[in-house]
Amino acid sequence: MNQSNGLGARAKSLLGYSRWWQIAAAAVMMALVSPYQYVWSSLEGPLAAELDASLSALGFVFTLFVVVMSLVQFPAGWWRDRYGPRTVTLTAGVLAGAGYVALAFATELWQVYIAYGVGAVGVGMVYTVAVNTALKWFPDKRGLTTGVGTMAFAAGSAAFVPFLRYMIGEERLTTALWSMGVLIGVGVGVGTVILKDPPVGWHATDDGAASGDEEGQEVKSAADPGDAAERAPDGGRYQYSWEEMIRTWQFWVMYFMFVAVSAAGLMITARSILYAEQAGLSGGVATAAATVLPVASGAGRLVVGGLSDRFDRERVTAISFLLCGIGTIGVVLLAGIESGIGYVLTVAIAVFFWSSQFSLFPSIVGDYYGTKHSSTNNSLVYSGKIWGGVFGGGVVGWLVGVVGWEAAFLVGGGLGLAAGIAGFLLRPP
Amino acid sequence: MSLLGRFLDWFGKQSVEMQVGTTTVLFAALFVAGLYTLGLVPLVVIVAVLIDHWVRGRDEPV
Repeated sequence: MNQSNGLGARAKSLLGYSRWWQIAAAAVMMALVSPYQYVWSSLEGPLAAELDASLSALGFVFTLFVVVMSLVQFPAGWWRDRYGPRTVTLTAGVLAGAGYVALAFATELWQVYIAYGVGAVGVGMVYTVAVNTALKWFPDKRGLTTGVGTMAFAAGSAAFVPFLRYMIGEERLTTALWSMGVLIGVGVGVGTVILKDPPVGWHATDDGAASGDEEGQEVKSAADPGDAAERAPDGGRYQYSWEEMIRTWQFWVMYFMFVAVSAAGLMITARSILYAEQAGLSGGVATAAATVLPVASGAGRLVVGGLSDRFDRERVTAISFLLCGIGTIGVVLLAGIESGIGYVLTVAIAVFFWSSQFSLFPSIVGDYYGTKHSSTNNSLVYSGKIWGGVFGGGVVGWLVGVVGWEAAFLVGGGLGLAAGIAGFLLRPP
Repeated sequence: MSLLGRFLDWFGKQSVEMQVGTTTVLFAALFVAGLYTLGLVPLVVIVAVLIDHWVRGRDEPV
């Protein structure tokens, strides 16, 4: 508590206001760009009708979004680590806003792909800025604060979905899309004014002065290393560049874990409603599962992220992914006995523990490799989402056809368990 | 019949409140036990239950 107060006061002396405003701005920006990921399922049907195109023709728009959003984080992170958050965020606001505005006026299929691709670039840039803002300003509460930002990304769309559905009902899809684009652009632009990076090593010095500004320079703690109350969480830790990070075995273990647990989580996200229907569960169960998914996804990031600040982070990560695996196996078992409530609960539990990866991994990367290059370092770990998405989408679809729903979901559960077991290997480099 | 099979039989016969309570308590207990045992308890429990289910899963109830 004393350490947090000390860091809070030091941050206030650097910023002139509470560091929580940085988190608030990051969370609002995350919520603003969240429709790209979480409103797509509500949007694709009306959009296909508007364009007179088939749903399958729009099928790769979301895949394009995931790939672009994941890949752009590396160059955007490099830019942010080197030049600060403001220019990159302003650019992100323009791109993310322009994506929806362009989508509103798209009349051809290729224009939809271009518009969503441009928007995805903006979303990836906002995502990396928001997550790493939390890491840089809150070395003492990394799990909780990255949880706030990533929860906003999951839950923020809750405000957009009713608006979009209302506008679709009123046959005003174009107005809905361009007004959302303007809101995204303006909102992210306003957030730019607030965002600021602290000097590297600010939390590891007694006077708050910047230290260790040179590339790869070791940041030394001025506090007595033996005095745990005074020592910042990564005070004195070497600031790894991405080239140095990928030469550590810990990165590859984390990458495996990220891919494996993403595969399990994205499989449930994409397929649990279809599986409920295939298992003979009622339509109400499928609807309930669809409703709890975003709630559990948002809550997991915040709650488990916050717990990881209080307990050993590696252990929380390993247990969380183990329980994601157990929950996924539970989905199969409870679908087997046609327990509707059991099915919804196990879906919620699996998603709750899976989604914690979005606050746990950035926190571990900050703990292990320092905050100076955290944006580029995190973007490399986050790129594992592409492979997880390939499994959760395409591979599971193929597996279901070959071995059936139960076996496909058990493979997903096995991947969650494997990620959990791998988590026990993690040690700081 | 395996322990898991017995549990699922029992679970399927319970009220909604009981199912919600049981699932919540079970996973919360596994999480907390994992925190204080280096994760060994949930790992050992899942391995033991799955092996038991694999070996005895098709047996008739006693």
